[in-house]
Amino acid sequence: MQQANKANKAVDSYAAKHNLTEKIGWKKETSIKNTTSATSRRLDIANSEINEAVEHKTGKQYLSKDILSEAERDAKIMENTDWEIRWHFDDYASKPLLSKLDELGIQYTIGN
Amino acid sequence: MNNFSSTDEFNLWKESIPFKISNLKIRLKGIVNFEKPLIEVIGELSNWILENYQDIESMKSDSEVFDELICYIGELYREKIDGKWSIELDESDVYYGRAIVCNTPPYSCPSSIITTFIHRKKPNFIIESINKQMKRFGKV
Repeated sequence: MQQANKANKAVDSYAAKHNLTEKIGWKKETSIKNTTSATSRRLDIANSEINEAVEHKTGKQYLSKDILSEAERDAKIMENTDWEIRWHFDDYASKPLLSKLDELGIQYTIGN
Repeated sequence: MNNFSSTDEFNLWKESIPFKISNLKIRLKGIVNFEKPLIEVIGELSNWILENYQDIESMKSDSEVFDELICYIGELYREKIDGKWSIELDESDVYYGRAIVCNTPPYSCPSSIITTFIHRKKPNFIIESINKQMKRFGKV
């Protein structure tokens, strides 16, 4: 719970810093249906007026099985739709993870 | 953005789609030749949109035209993917309350396609988007 709150605050802070406000169409924690199944992919911050979303990662991030699955689902959504999903790491992302994002064509930023 | 508060409201809107498409064709007579091959029609329509609407707000504020464009673009998608019009009723979904065109389970939202096109200002965006959907559903 504490970790979820921290992540939530970090998303709020990122959105505020980059002016991703509701007034211009940005919403927190929405979801988009996966393009290959009946499941949904949750988006941290998304704007359906411009089909852009940000996956926000707090803390140190590595290429775990879960992260790989998220990245692959995002790549599939971008391949099959007009959505552009970029990732933001506010702390650290390992080299293998960044290489995988490069390979999948997912843009990313690092740092506060 | 055409947000619907109920399925009834959406169904009523859906019935007006042919009428709104006819209106758009009358409105754009002499500007867009709808008798041409589709790729040329989309090209002319895309140019007209970009020339007349500099940003999303100007498009949204011209609500009648926006609505007609949603109907026209949505019908194109629907025909090309053998899809159907629907309304997204999942509150957590990015397209909640909006008209979508779907072919289970994925979907496209015509109003988003138009606003995203205006935002990105890529002349071939709409035709590329349609082609992408056709490929996705094995229609190419």
